[in-house]
Amino acid sequence: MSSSPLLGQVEPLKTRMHAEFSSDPTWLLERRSAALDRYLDAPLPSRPRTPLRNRRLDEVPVFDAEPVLHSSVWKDLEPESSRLSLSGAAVMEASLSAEAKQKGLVFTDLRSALSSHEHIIKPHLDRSLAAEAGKFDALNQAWWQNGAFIYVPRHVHLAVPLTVVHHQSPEQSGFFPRTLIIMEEESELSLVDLYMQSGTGDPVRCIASILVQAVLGPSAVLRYGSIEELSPSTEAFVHRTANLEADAEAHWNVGTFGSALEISSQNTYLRHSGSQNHSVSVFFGSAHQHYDLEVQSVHQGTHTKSNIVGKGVMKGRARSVFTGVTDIKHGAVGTDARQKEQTLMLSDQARADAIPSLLIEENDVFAAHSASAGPVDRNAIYYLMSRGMTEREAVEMIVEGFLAPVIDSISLDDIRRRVWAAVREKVQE
Amino acid sequence: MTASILTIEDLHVSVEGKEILKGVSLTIRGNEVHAVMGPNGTGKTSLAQTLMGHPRYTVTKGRITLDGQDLLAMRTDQRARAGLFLAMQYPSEISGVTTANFLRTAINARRGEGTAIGLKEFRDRLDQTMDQLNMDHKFANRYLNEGFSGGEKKRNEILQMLLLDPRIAVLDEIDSGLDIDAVRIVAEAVQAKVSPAFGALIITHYQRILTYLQPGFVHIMVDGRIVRSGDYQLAQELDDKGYDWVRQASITGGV
Repeated sequence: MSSSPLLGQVEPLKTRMHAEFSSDPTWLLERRSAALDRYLDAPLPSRPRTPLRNRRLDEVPVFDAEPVLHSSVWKDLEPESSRLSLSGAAVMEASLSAEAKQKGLVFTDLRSALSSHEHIIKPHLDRSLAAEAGKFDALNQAWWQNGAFIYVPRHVHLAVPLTVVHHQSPEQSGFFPRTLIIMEEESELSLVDLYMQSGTGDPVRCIASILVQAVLGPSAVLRYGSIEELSPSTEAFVHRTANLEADAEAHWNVGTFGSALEISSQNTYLRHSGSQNHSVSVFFGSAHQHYDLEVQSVHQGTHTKSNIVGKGVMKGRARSVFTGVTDIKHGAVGTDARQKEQTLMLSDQARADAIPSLLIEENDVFAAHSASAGPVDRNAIYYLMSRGMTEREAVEMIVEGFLAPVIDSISLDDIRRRVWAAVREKVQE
Repeated sequence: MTASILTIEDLHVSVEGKEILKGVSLTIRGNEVHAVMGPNGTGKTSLAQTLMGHPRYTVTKGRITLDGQDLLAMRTDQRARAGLFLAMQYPSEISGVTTANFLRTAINARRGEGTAIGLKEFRDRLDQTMDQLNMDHKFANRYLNEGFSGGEKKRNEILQMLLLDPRIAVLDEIDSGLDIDAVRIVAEAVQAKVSPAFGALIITHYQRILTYLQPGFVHIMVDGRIVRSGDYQLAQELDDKGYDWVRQASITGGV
């Protein structure tokens, strides 16, 4: 285990993968092999403002140590009635409320679900990614060790959110978690999906590829909240995708605070009439962090709605690009698509771009966007200081005020609380 | 409580290398209301902002003390906590921060650690003070100055002054943007506040607010200097004769 192949070493990677996943079902192992080939062949993700070539990502080991489990991580979590905690392939904790069990909801780790629910997983596991799967999606598809699987049957509504914790200790070099959500007609789910690299070890350079897939049946409602608190030496690729049937609603609430680099895509396909995408992203970069975040709504059905909100703060020498993409296909009449991006820069060395992108093939639609990125108002800081607040308190107040309308709109209590805590930690950093 | 005293001695101030204040001296004590009048661009706002410590203004010479403490050695927030207040001509808008939340934070900053105001006491004082200023209570829950009219912002400045309980308040053009009733309300609020522990410096173009306040001391500023000082009569004289009169006087050196 100690000699791990690097991400650029073709033959050792293949050998290691077959050894690592030899007990998988044949179909899965074949998919892993194919994914590894795609990973090796595919070009680096193309983001004009985030050049990747010089990062030498292929020199990072795919796995370099056995998972090290830190009990302290789990102690910080409040007791929940429905929670799944994963660390590498290991399930640290799995609980589901009696109410949810009784309603037929499935909430388990992907590896267990492979045997218990193979017929559901097999057709969905990689299908919804096909259209835009890139190099690092393929890396996850080849190497994922475990993940979360949630299946909500028809007409099942769950009052209490489910929580998934994907954890890895920072001395490991590859992090490939995934979450698969399948919702049947008229079901309703709130999910808190947490990504953490915490522990006592010295962080090593790590490549993370996170995959989240949601499939929403007619009139299904998903409230999804996620916080990424990855290690400062992690370079992360995050891909979330949802496919919506008629009148389904996806509510995304994502907070990005950690990692050295994050490249993310969130693609929501409003395939059928009346479906809706409400997406909120909050991000806060400091030091040399670099975020390149893209949120896309694809309108295919008629009378679909989307609202993309991205709000971020950059300090130190941090750099962000936030791109909202509204993609209205021919025939998507009656579309209502809105987006708003705002970034606040707290230092002269920070950089932020907010880029709205509208691709419209249909006439009978409403599409609106606004984007701004600007420095913190020095006069506002002075004004608050003239009322007795220190410069730091003044900046904190301005930042909190800037983010408050967006964070306070998050309906998942746990996510809202965690986003506020992460923001306060960042602003005081 | 000891009487307040703000002392400005031979103050010279530059902005981007250009001298704006050319030797200003003033003393404001508790129980006193002073007015500084003068034409536009003459240095009145520069004086106010220099007192508060705006980073744009560089003091090249002179001294300022508040109750004996060296103000120029303090940051803006320290000056505020020492008891100086500036009602600004153009208050900033702070999005996402309610006026009430801001006021409570500011009161606690002024009070210092361990003496935070209780929520009930704060609410009561806020309601009373808003009533005194004839302000709609809904302003407390609106974001600070965001979307406020000019007059609403000015009332909000006075609300802050009353709640923060400063020892010396400088009011920069507090009367601009206010209708006649509001000018009276603001003037009455300042007048009611005057005590040995509170003195005020009113900066204005117009005589109107002074008819309510009847300041004991009136100073006329032209080209970065105080060219004339007197009592309330001087303001009335200025109103009759206009600024050209003092301009002439300052050029010929007759003060």
